[in-house]
Formats: sequence, C-alpha cells, structure tokens
Amino acid sequence: MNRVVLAGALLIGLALPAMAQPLPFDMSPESDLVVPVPAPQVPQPSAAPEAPSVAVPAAFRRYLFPGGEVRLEGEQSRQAVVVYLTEAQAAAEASLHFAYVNALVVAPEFSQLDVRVNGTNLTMTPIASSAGPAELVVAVPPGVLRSGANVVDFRASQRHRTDCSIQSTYELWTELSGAWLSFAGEGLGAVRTLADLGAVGTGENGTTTLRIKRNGFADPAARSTLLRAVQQVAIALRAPAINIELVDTLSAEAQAGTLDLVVTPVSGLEGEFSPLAPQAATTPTAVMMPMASGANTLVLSGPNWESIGRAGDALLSAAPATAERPRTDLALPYPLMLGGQSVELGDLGVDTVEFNGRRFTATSQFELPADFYAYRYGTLDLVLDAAFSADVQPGSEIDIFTNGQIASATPLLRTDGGMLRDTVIRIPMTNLRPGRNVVDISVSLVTESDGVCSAGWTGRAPVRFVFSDSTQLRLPQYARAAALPDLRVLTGSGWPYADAPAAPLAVGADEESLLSAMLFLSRVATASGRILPVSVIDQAELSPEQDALLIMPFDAVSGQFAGQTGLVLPQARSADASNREALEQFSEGRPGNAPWTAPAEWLAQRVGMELSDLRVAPAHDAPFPLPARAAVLSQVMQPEGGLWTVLTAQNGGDMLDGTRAMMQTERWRQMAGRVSTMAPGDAEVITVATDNPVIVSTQPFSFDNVRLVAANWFSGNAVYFTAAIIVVAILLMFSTSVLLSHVGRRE
Amino acid sequence: MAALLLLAMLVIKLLHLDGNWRLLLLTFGTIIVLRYAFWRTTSTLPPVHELADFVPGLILYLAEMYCICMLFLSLFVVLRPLPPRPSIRLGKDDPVPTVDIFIPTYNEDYDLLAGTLAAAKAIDYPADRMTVWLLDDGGTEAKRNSADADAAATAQERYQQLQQLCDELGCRYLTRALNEHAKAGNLNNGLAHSSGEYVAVFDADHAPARDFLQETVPYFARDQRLFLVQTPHFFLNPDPLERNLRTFEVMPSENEMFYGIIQRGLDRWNAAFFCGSAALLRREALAVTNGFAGRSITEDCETAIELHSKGWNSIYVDKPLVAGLQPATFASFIGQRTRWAQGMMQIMLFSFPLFKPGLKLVQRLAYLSSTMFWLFPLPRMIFLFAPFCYLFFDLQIFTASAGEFTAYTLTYFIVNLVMQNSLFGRWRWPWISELYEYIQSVHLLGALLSVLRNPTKPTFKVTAKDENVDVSRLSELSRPFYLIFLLLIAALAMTFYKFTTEPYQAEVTLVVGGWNVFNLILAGCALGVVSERREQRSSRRVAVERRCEIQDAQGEWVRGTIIDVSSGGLAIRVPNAAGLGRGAPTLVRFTPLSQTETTELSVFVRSTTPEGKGTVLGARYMPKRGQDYRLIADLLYANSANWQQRQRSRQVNIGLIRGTARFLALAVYQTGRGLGYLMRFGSGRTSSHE
Repeated sequence: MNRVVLAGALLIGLALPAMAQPLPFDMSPESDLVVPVPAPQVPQPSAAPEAPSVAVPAAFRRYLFPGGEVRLEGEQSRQAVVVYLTEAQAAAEASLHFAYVNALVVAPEFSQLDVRVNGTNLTMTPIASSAGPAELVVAVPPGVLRSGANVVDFRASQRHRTDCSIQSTYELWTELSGAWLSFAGEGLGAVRTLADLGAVGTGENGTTTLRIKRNGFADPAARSTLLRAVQQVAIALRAPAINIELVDTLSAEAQAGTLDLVVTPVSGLEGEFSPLAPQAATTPTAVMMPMASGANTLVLSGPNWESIGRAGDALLSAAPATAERPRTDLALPYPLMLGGQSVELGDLGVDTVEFNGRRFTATSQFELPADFYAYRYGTLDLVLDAAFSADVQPGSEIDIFTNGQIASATPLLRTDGGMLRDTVIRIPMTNLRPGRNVVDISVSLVTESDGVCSAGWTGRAPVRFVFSDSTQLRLPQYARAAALPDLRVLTGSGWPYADAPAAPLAVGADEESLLSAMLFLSRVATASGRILPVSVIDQAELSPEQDALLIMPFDAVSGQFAGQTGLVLPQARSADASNREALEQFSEGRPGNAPWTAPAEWLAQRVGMELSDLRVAPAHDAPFPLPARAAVLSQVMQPEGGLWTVLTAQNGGDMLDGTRAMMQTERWRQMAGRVSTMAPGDAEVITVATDNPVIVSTQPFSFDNVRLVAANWFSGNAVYFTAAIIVVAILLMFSTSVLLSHVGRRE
Repeated sequence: MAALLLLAMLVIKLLHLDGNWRLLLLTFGTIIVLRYAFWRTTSTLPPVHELADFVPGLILYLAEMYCICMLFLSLFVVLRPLPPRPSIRLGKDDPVPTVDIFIPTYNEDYDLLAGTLAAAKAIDYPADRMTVWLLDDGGTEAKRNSADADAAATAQERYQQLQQLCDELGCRYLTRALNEHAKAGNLNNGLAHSSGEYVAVFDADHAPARDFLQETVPYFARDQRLFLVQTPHFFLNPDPLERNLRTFEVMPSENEMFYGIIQRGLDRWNAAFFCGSAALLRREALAVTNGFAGRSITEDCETAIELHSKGWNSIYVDKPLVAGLQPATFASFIGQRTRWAQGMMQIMLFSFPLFKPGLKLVQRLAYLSSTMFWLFPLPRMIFLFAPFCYLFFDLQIFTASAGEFTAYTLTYFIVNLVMQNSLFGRWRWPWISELYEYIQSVHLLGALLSVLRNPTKPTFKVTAKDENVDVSRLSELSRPFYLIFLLLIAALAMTFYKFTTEPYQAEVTLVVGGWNVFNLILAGCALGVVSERREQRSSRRVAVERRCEIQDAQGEWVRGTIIDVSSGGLAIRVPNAAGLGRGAPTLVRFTPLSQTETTELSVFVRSTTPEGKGTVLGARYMPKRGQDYRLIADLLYANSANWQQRQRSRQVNIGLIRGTARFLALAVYQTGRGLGYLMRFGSGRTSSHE
C-alpha cells in the first residue's frame, strides 16, 4: 500500500510540470471547468532518487464499496456501485480485485457470482468459498471503463445445497469485501479537474474524507462560505457520507479517498498556493491544486469570503448531482415521481428475470417530493407483469415492502392461468416518505416439485417464474402539503431550507459546533442533492417568524431560545429514584398500561388505525428531555411561523460524536418525527413522532389538492372525520325534513 | 367511522326515536350504503381481461347496485308516509252519487260468489243509488258453446245458477260473447252496460265491508280530478307460507307491508295505484282511457299509471274494507305472483315510468320503485349462486380481503337490515322479505325472462282461491327447492374441504362459506314452505260476539251467543245443549246489521263441546236461497273494525335480534319438516305428477 501511494505521489510529481497554462476562471458549464492552474514550482519528492519509478510496476487502486463491504443475500441478489474515473484512469489497463466468502449451505454447482462493469460481463464464477475468503482478480477489457461514472454490478444467484423450502433461502449469503480496481500506469491517482472530483473515491474502509485546513473561520461570512462550500464539495464527491476533519496541515502524501480542502480569501494563499493569488485577487477561483505531496487538494479562493461562495458554485456546475452522475452507492435510477405518474421497473434498473428458485426478489427506488402528504391513506399500484409455470401452486405470495416495512401481502389464489398481466397490487402509502423511497418485491413460490425436493432440485428446477421489466409502479394523484415539523423532509429533501434564498443558521462558536454543522449540512446535501443556502448569524438575531437552524451544544443556547427548541435539560435525579422507577415499570409490565389498552390496540391494529388516530384533542408536543451522550436533532414549528431545526447535545463532544454516528445512510434514513437522537453506540435512531403537526401549503390552491390533503388529515383524525360526517348528516336531515314538509301531500 | 354511525343508528332505533331522529337514522344509513357502493365500484371489480372472473363479477355487482337503487327508491317512497286518513261518512245533505259495483268472476264457485254478492248488497248505501253487477266470464257465449261438450254444459249450468242467484239477491248478471282482454275486457263490458258515476271493483273473493262506500265516496266530492280511492286487501286466510310455517296468527302478513306503509308512502307522492280490487273509481276518468287498460296483464296498475300521467289523482285509505282470500296452495300463490311480476315487467317495457310523459318526477320515481321491485328474482338468484363461482369454480368475482369484506360489506349488510327494520319493522319481520323473495324467485325468474323474450306473450291467468289442501303433501313446484338445497349442502361441504386444503385463502373461504350458509338457511326454510300442510280453508275462524237465538229440538227458541264464524259455519255458545246433537238440522236467528228479507238461517249441528257451564255448538250453514247468503255475509263481513284490530295485533316490530333468532329457529325446524315431507311424500309426488 505504502509503496503504491508513494509511487503515485511520485508520478503526480513528475507529471505536474507538463500542466497547462493558466486560464482565466470561467464558470460556464461548457468549458471543461478546469481550473486555472499556474505552473507550480514543485519540489522533487524526496523519495524519487531512491525509488526510480521505472523500477516498480506502478499500480493505483480505486476502492469500490462506499460502505466497505457488500452482502448479497437470498437466491437472487444484486448490488451495484458507481465508481468515478478520470480520463487517465479509464484509459489505463485495469483489473478488478475482490474477495468473497459465502455461507456453507450455498451449493457451488448451482450458485454463481456475476460481475458486470458498465453492462459488460467480466466474470461468472461459481460461489464456492465457504471456508474462507477467496480472492479473485479479473482483467477489465479495454474500452469497458470510461471517464466519469462507471457502474460495477455484482449479482449473485445462489441456491441451497439441500433444502427446497422458502425459509432456507434466508440462509443464503455471500459477502464481498476488499474490492478495488487496479490501474497500471503512473500518476493515475491525480484528480485534475473539478468535474472529476468524484474520482477522489473512497478509502479502503469505504469512507471519503474531506480534510479542511483550519483558517480561523471565525466571522459569520467565513463560516457561511465554508458551510456552503462543504455542501458543494460533498455533492461533487458523489459519496453518500463525507467524513470531515479540520486540520492544521495538509496531507503529507496522497491517500485514497481523501481530499484536502483549502478555503481562504486571497490573503491566505501562501506557500504552495501563492501562484493562485493573482487570479484569486480578482475573481472567484476553484482549483484542483497539484501539490508536491501528491495529495488531491481543492482550493477555493477569491478576493473576499463572499466571492469564494461563487467559486463554490462552480463546483456544482462542474460536478452536478444529476441522473447521469449518481451517488456512488445509488447506481440505479430513482426518478422523482409526481402524482399520476407511472414508471416501468425496467427504467428503474430492474431486469426481466427467468427464475427457477423459490423466492424472487427485486428492488427499485423512486423519489417523492418534500411535500408528499399522503402517508395515511391511499395506495400506490404495482402493475405486475409476470408469468409462472404449472408447477407453481396457490399459496404462493407476492410481498411488497416499502422502505423496509411490509406493505402488502398478496397470495396467489389461482395459478392455473400462468399469467399475471396487468395485475394490480395495491400498496398502502403508509411508509412512503418525502425523498428517496425503496420498494422491495419478494415473490415466494410454493411449488409441487419443491415439496418433493429431490437431490439437486434447488438448482436444477426448470424456470418457474418470469418477472417482466414492464411491471409498473403507478402513483395516484396524491396530496401535496407539508406537515411540519418533520425531520424526514429535511434529511431527505433539505426542505424547506433548500428552497429559501437564505437559511439563517446560528452555529456555536466552538469548533465542534462548526464540524457538526459541516457534517450535518453535507449529509443533507448528499441525501437530497441540494444545498441549504445557510447564512451564519448570531444567535441573538434569530427570529421566530423565520425558518432557521441552530447548531450548538445545549448550554450554549441562550435562555431566551432554549424554550423554543422543543428540548429541555433532564432534571437531575438521584440514581435511587430512577432505579425505583425502573423497578416499578418492570413490575407493571409497561408504563401507563390501562387494562383496556391491549384489546383496544389489538382492535385498532386489525382495522389499520392507531389509538392516537382516535384522539379528540391532539397531544401537546411536550419538550423532549435531552439524553446524555447523544446528538439530538429537533424541529419545532414556532407559533410565529418559523420552522426551527436544532442540532444539539449536552456538550460539544457528544454533539460531534452523535452527528458522526447519524451519517451512516441506514441511520440517516431513520431520522424522522420532531426529535431524533443518536449516540455513537446506538444501533438505531430514537425518534419522537410529531403529535401536533402544522399543515403548510406548498402548492397553488386547487380544490383537488385540498380534497386530498383533507383526506389525509381526516385519516389521522378519525374522530373529526366522524364528527364532520355527522354534522353533514344532520344538515342533510334538516334539509330533507324541510323539503319533505314542502313537497308531496301533507294531511 | 362506520361503527360509530352504526352505533348512533342503533341508539336511535332502540330508543324508538321518531320524526327527525328517524330521518337522521336513515341519513346515517344512506352514508354507509353510499360508502359501500363507492368502495364496491372502485375497488372490488375483477380485472376486465380475466373474463371468467369479470363477467360473473359484473353481474353480481349489478345485482347489488340494483338492490341499492331499490333501497333508495323505497326509502324515497316511505320517507314520510301519509298518516292514515280519519274515518269519514257521507254527510246528511251531501249529494249521493250513483255507484256501480263490479264483481268480475271467471271460475269461482257458487258459494264464494254468493257470499261476495251478498256482502256487496249489504253495503251501507241507498239501494236505489247502487247497483251490484256480477260480471261473469265463466258463462260467456263462447264458453257455453264450447266445442268441449262437458265444458259447455258446465258453463251453461253456471250461467243459469248465477243468473238465479243474482235474481234472488237483487243483483245484475252480465256476461259477454267472447273472453277478450280477460279481466280488463270483462270490466269494460260492465262499464259499457252501466252508467253509475263511480265504479267499485271487488274481486270475486273480496267481500266488502258494510262501510266501504261510506268510507270512500266522499273523497270524490273533495277533488274533481280524483280517479281512484284504493283500500287495502285484507285476507281471512293465510297464504301458503303463513299456513305452512304457521305464522299467520302472530306475524304480519306479506301484503301488510305494501298496504300498511308502501301505499301510504306512494299516496304522499300522489302515486297510490289501483290494485284490481277493493277500489272505487270515477267513470269520467275511466272514459279518458277508454276503460281499463288491457295491454299488460296487470290492468290495474297500468290503468293507474295512464290516468296519473293524464293529470288525475289517486288516494289511498288505509282501512281494511274488504276481506279476501289468499291463494291456498303454493302453486296458485306462485301463479298469482307470476302474473303480477310479468304484468309489472310489461309496464316497464311498454311505458317505462321514469320517462313516461305527463307524470311528475316524484310519481315517476314512485312508479319506478313499484315496477322495478318485481325484478327481485334476478338479484336473489344471483346472490344464491354467486358463492358457487368461488366454491366450485374458484373464480374471484369479488376482489376484497376478508378484512375489507368485514369493514365494508358487513357494515353495509347490518346497516341495510337496520334501515329496513326501522322502515318496515312493524309490517315485516327480519329475513321474511328474503324468504318471500326466495320462494318466488325460483319460479319467477323464468317467467320474467319469458316476458323479456316476448313482452306480449303472457296471458291473464286467474288465480285459484278456493282450493283446499286436503292432505299434507309436497307442492308440485317443490322439486327445484330440493335441488337447490342439495347444491347448497354440496357447497357447504366444499367450504369445509377448501378450508382445510387451501389454508392460504381460508379467510376468503370463510366469508364466502358464511354467505352460502345464509343461503342454506333461507333455502332450508323454503323447504317448509313447499311442504303443504293439510288444512281446510273453511276452518279459518273469525272471533265475533253476537247475540242469537237457536231453535232447540222441541222447536223452542233458546238464547245464545255466536262466538266465531267461518266461511263454512259458526260456533254458538248456549247455556245447555238443549237436546241438539250431531247432525241435527235447526235454525239460528239474529239481528243482521243491514236490511235483509229474513233473519233465520238454517244450519246443522256438527259438534257439541261442553265449556264451563254452557255448551259450544259447532254448526254448518245450510244455505238454501240467495238471501241466506246475506245472513252469512252479515256475520262474516259486516264489521270491518274487527279486521283492523286483527291486523294491528300482528303488527309488532319484534326487533332485529329477536327477529333473527326467531327466523333461525323457524329455519331449522322447517328444514327438518321439509326433509321429512320429502321422505314421506317425495316418491308419491314424482309418480303422480310426471
């Protein structure tokens, strides 16, 4: 590893003198957006004399998995990742390295791993390494890789050795780890243009690190610029979560998955960066700076802080978040679906599959707007096109999961037809959310021959199910409104701050607050593809009429606003008292358990309601006691109309640690309600639902939308609905009564 | 939400709240029914390309929508029925118009006609202003000169006997050359030969009460555009269902729902229609339509709709003023209903009420409700066979989960029951409508379809009213009921089979199976209906209390009390038997309520029963002359208040729960009885009827 990095650094060093002449800064998207790079005076790397580059076959690695490893489960499984390559990397001779280990019960003769790069099949290997990781190296044919986004697709088809039951399919897994592309050539690790920022890639452990050189960042303008720039860089990197560090010194050597960032006005351009000064003195400048260390370094500069912000904008026009430039962990498309739209699963990356196993699965994703407000009623349709053989028996089942929750289970009552053409399966929209949504389809096939399960049948069975990519997802016209507070809307879509011209942000003076803010905002940016246009203000300038963000430890929040954060410091209690409470709770089963609760809950569950749906007066959203050692994200709708989002903790360290813990995609997607908390050790985000949301209109008034919004609201307020019906009924009764006394005979 | 509304409805119902509360109950019900209809329309129809599912699914859907339409139509009709009109009399100085009383007959026997004619003559009205006409279609020239010598002789004999009877009673006998246009033609012949301002029509088996004309004539003076005063048909004997299920004394009769509330509801919308008998009509109005309409075989309703469309009015007087006879056997009952159903279908086809020009909107709806009601055999049969689609053929004709079914269909079902019960509860007990519909549907379905095939084909068939069921037996129309029952049993077995072998759809199986069980209960109960119990019509007794004197063996007059009467005889309580034994002929005398020539009636004693201090003598009438029938009629029909009281005593709303429990018990018992009859009489029936 060291050697490679060393060699890379050396190559970059050697290559640099050949760089182009400085160009004037240009923000137009047509230009290649490079980067005016002045010819630097590069000191020769000290390693060069001892290790002549010709002596060592130069190789450069690009790690593939954003999360570090990938697990393929079930009979049919697939994981695709995106890897961004520079032009030089794409042109180089490359090979794919990965290791895998699989479950013992996976039958090697019927199971295989299929790796495709940009749709070209690289290898088809039997899955036969249950004892320990097997390492594979596959040469990538020339021309397969291209500069920009490349999709590497791992597909496993796994069959059980002996068991034909549906249950057994859950025991099948293959774990891929340590996957990288290796490029032969020199200086391939260098990212030279802003458009290639995605090629910074990930480190071996799957993280992308942004090292930001400390530069005071004391005054609000500096902080605003920095916080916006971090979001822009995060999007340009196309990684799901960015690990951000504030450092005093830049990297001493190039490291995989690491980008150094220097944000400074022209006055701060010193040393190696001084060649940029002339240009930065007059125009905003965004440059990938060739460094002597070989580390990828991005410099954002300009005459003053305000103009640096515009330099940051160049990042987005050079490396925008578009469908052609997917996030590295989201290789498949997930288009925005508005009401009344439908999409074929083929367009979501699902292929037509002929399947001879017993549990078919397919995953697709789509996005919903921030003001999706139809989670309480209504259904989305899956229009299924599929066929099955005569072997398939009634009792087979099509299960649909939305965002990991079971949403619909449709048994196949008849299988004599063999076809499911335009079969509509209604999926309640309960678990859909603003932002990205995941729909998993799982078809459990009960067959006669599986009942017999002769030797080898798990793999030798003929095709019994065909899933067509013409299957559609069809959304109804759904209600558009925002029910605030809702952290999902912010974490998934950046709404409403991303739509505002400026989002006031009060950030703590300490570095932990600043780091937390950078982490949090960059994560919102990578999730939504949008920038929150934050402008840092002093806490005292916060106005409850305005949407605002607060990021600081709770003790730093001024007393004046502490009451408006929806949070409260827990009252100090003796350990004795809390022990007693715990004991009491234990002895009573659950806290606050009335004798009728259980049957009422059972009944409510049967009819698909929650007891809270029946409440008359909504519960007051009581302040949430701040837990220890956890970062807390809280959103409060101020009575004056402003939506405040607060990221805090009992102290700065907890806030930073908790925020880092939130970043992981799975947890980030759990953030919801009005309060979400995360401590580093927690497995799951703890959320507090909003009991008393405020409906905010987001669309121009239309009767249709009002009707749909009302439908959703009434669905959550059944008592009001009933009351409304009764009122209408009584009015109807009186009008009928009056009418009756005027028409017809009266004697 | 539905549950809460349902709860509110039940509370209103249990508290017997009336007025606007009743309206509120109906409004809540309407909301739930509409909710069901919406759900049913949008969410439950099978996909179109699965034709095997879709076609039956659509048929079932249409059947349900028909039921919902009918529910709303009947809701409209009976939303607020007119309260019964107060009893009236002709005033002293009121002009007394002339009235012709028509009694059309075809094949009714002498005794029956004599009784009806006698009752008509006894009507309280100036004799010179009233003419009673016997319109005999059984003695027409065509019949008397029939090619069949026996038939010709019978007709000739009838012609002479009836002429004589009319002479004795002071009635006019009228017959005609040909039997054209059946009853309507016969009545029109009567119109042609008479000239009274008003025309009263009584079926041959409908004996009028004394106050019939007093209660009806005055209305015509109040409204010059009034063409009809209709009164209810009241029956002295049970229909086959009531007789075979033994519900006559306790449960309101089938027609009481129609006459007790529906006609009153129609009356509010000026759409009460002519029911062929027990009505008074204006000749001037009939002249507009050239007499009674004869295009359909229900001339009565057709005449009414024609006159309503020409701007004439009708009213309904809710007081029983005739006493009639129900068809005695199941077969004749079905025959009667076939005529009604076919006739109403003809009206639907010839002059569809919704688009009939001249009618007001409310009248259109009212007539639509009256005629469309007779389509009930279609949905009833569809509901009967729909579960088979799933149980036997595995078709998915109703796409809903068991949970949805409970949430929507069950609430709809219950709400429907509650609404029906609150609308009609006094006149119709729960599930009895379904039973009546079912027993008729089996045979009416074909009849309806034949009308659709050839609308002009059905001909008027006179319903036999004077039959007796002398021995217990199976009705000749019973076979399909047993077959259906067998099918339903098979479906029940299939339910169990499916439930155990196809656990993945156990819930659906349970729901459909439950539906099938409901059909089974209904069909089981119907087996009892087609198992005819032995009973003499003449043994139906009416309690009276009238003083009389009876001649004892020595020829002395002994005082006694007539305690009940029937069409065949009477019972007299006397202090002692006075030497009268079985078979002894004697005379009874009493003071009749109307003017008669004689006050002595010959009877012979058939039984003597000691009762307390006295003895009850059972005696049979021995009428010798026409005038004797005046006395019998006086005993039987003079007092209409008696009839009303008898109806009232049965008109009790027993509530949904009690009604359901009662029905279940009845169904279990009748299923057993029906199967028992099959064992006993099944083989005999097949040999004698095929």
